[in-house]
Amino acid sequence: MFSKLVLRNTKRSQKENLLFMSSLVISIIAFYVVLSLKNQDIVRYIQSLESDAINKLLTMVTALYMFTLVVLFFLIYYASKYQIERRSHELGVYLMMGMKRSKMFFMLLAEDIASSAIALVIGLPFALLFSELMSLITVKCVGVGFLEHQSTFDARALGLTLLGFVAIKLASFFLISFSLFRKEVGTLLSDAPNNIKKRRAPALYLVAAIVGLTLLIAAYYLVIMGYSWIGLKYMLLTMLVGLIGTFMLFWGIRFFIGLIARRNSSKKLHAFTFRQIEDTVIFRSGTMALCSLLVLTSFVCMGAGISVFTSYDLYRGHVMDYTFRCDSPLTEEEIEEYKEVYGEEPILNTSESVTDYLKEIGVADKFSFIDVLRIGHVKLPEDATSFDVYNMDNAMEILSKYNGEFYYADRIYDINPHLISLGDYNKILALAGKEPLVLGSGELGVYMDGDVSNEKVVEDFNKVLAERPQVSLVDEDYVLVGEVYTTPIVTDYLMSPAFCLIIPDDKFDELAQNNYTAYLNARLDEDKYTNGNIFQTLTEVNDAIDSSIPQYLDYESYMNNMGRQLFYLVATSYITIYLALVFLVIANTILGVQFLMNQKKSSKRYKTLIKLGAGHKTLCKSSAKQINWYFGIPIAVAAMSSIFGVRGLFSGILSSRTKTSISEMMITTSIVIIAFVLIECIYILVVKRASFKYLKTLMNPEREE
Amino acid sequence: MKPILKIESLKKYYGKQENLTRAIDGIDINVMEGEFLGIMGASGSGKSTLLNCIATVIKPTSGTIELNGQEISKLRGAKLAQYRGKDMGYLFQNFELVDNLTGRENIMLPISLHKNNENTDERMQKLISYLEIEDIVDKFPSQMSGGEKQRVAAARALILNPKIILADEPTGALDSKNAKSLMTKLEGLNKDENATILMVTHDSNAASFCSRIMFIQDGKIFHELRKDRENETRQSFYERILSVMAQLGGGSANVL
Ligand SMILES: Nc1ncnc2c1ncn2[C@@H]1O[C@H](COP(=O)(O)OP(=O)(O)O)[C@@H](O)[C@H]1O
Ligand SMILES: [Mg+2]
Repeated sequence: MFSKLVLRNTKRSQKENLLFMSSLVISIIAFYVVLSLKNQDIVRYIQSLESDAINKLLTMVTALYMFTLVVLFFLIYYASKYQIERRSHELGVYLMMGMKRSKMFFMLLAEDIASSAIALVIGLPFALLFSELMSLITVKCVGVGFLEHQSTFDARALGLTLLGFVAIKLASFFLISFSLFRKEVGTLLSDAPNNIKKRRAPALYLVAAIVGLTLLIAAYYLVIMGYSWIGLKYMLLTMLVGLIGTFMLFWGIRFFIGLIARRNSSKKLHAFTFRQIEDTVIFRSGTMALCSLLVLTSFVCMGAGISVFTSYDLYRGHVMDYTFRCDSPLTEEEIEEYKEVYGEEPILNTSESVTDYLKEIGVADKFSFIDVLRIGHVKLPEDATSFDVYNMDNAMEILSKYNGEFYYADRIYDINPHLISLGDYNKILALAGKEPLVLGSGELGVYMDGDVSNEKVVEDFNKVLAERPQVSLVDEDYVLVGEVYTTPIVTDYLMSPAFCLIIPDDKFDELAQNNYTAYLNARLDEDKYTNGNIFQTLTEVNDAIDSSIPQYLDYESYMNNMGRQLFYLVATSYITIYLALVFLVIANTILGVQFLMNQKKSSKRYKTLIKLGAGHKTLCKSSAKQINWYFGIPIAVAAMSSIFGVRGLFSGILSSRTKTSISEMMITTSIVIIAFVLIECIYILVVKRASFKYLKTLMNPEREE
Repeated sequence: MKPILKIESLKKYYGKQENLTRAIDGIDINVMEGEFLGIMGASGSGKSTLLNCIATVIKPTSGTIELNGQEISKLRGAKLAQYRGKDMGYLFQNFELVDNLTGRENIMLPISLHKNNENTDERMQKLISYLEIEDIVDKFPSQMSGGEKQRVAAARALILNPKIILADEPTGALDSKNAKSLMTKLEGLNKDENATILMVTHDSNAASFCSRIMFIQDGKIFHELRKDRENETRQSFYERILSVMAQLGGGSANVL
């Protein structure tokens, strides 16, 4: 008997509340997707490129899992609360009939477990499928489709998904039943109507709405003009202004709804429909504002994520594919010394020997460019006591005009700076398709690594160069000229020195002598890519070199660089898109559940309308209109804000990487918006369906005493 | 005078064989146009069931109900909606005002539901002033007293000029003073506007405003009283009602 009751109730609630079921299923998918992230093909690939990535990834997964746990707890709590509240009358009747509270508790628990089990049965296959699809799709999007696909299935992730889901489900169950069991039977039996809230002077609401809107506009202004990006203080100010603005706007919005409600309209149930909307706006203005902000966050995250993903350039600054570090040449004396110690000739990886070796293993013909670049320092005499070979004080003084703090002085000012020869560097410039650098007598060029974090330095130093500052190098005066050169001198910009002087070839030989390291740079021939895919080619060449590596040959391939960039790309876009979806789901579920709860609370009003001869259709129309408004207002405000938010984001953080393609990003953003509209439509439809069903139950006359 | 509402051998049974409740067990009533008919009976005698059958809230087991010669069980769709909203006005014991609508918006509900192109402003104004609710009509129900609520509800029931007004214990939730004032208004409407009213009550005082009273017991008509409009005072009619009610209460059906 008991189990039959449980079974029947579960079946019914499952049918009745699509919203509840789908939030359970979505939770399961969200958990599993995060937890099985490291089994994604792309992540596996990154891991093989960058062993360090795995640790970063694990931290990321743990953080996301925790975050999801907390956020989905609220989601499930809300959904379950509605689920129980709509049955409060029924539960009251059970108690009145003498069901023990403990028995009812177990009944609800059993129902909860049953519904969880159903959600798992539906959700887990979806989760597996979703994760698998995601793995396949991202690999295609990034352009590494040649990777062998491996199943993302992970027993540990499955276990943790189960654990997390059951944990939040039980936690919300206990929380809800605790508050349920403290209620009197009478309260359960009656649908407590909303207590009438004090109505203030309409002017006050109008003022609030206007002030809220003004604050919002102020926040938009701060974002668009770029003030928000100046520093954390401004950022927080913008957010605070926007936050207060949104909440005030929603608090005051009832003024306008009230106006519409009072307007004469021949539409059926016009006054009722808008009084209902007004009610929800009055009682739920906070929630609506919150949901609006969640949707906004979702918009911005999604916009940012997709833009990063589609516009991020893995080939940014890509000039060389390989750099082999050759040994510094030795002087006669050094060779003698070596012989004395080891009793044999030193074996050196010279640029020639490395080139020969590459030919030997058959990868040399894959390169379209192989050449040496030397990075040296002024060779000091053995007995030198002073290291003062270089003075750039003049330039640094000018620099300090543009930047009050000298925080990067030590990065670029070296008393014995790195030197590269003009001839070597011009070959690289030619490879990168750039104009060669021409130095007149007494002129030096400047190279800095093009690291993003360094962009500001480069910008500032360009201003310094415009003033042609005087420097001295080994007792000779020079002027620094040109613009700062950032075309990388080796494959991996992380390995290159931050600051180099570009000096004429004869000067290089004279000053550095043999005090340099030679780097053999190579670039793959684009026409000879395997399957036209650079990733695949890099992998093959790396494998060939690794399988027969000669003594001490140290090399960097673009793969490492790529791995890092890929990690950045995948991590950013995954996190942002994931958060976007989670926020969106939460906002919609809260809105939906709240609407349905409110509708239930106003069942008496609907019953009155039915007694006055309102048909199901009429009621559904009114309800549909209410739902459109209830979802529409927060989403409209969010959409309005997001236009500025996303735009601000582009010109703010993303600008440095993708300045050129703002219009392109706007296109992707429009695609995102269409996707959002679709998701919203689905939610609205689901809520409408639930609402219509509920109204149907009201249509049957009840016996009233 | 012709009957506006004709009820013939109406039956409504609840439940299955073993515990069958004969809520209405063969009732015939003719309600004349412009009549103020009261239906009295003890609790559980089937009064609400009868009214709900007329209001098409529930379906009778057998028998016919005709309004102006049109059998209402045959009404469907738009005709049924028209019947419920326009041909009939309903006054409820618990007022049934929608609590988040102002009095005026509540009164407008039938218009809003049954789209009516007729000019209703004038009628609205007339009803508001007749029922003396000018001062409260723009307030919300929570700001009104019980009597005011019922007068607003009365205006709502009357706004579309229905052919018949059904009232289920309209004074049930009112104190005697408010009950009296409401009944005076209903009586006035009946006299001045020739409104046909069918009222269910177990309050003899309220019933004394009626022009005719049917007593029902156990789902059957048990007795009928007719007021001599010209010569009889309300007081004497009231006393006659009380004596019938005394017999009803005693449960002996064979006294009169
Ligand atoms: N929906 C129902 N189901 C079963 N019995 C009902 C139902 N409605 C009314 N009854 C029964 O019908 C009889 C008449 O009820 P009702 O018309 O409400 O009486 P009154 O309004 O005169 O107090 C009562 O015995 C009642 O128990
Ligand atoms: Mg009754």
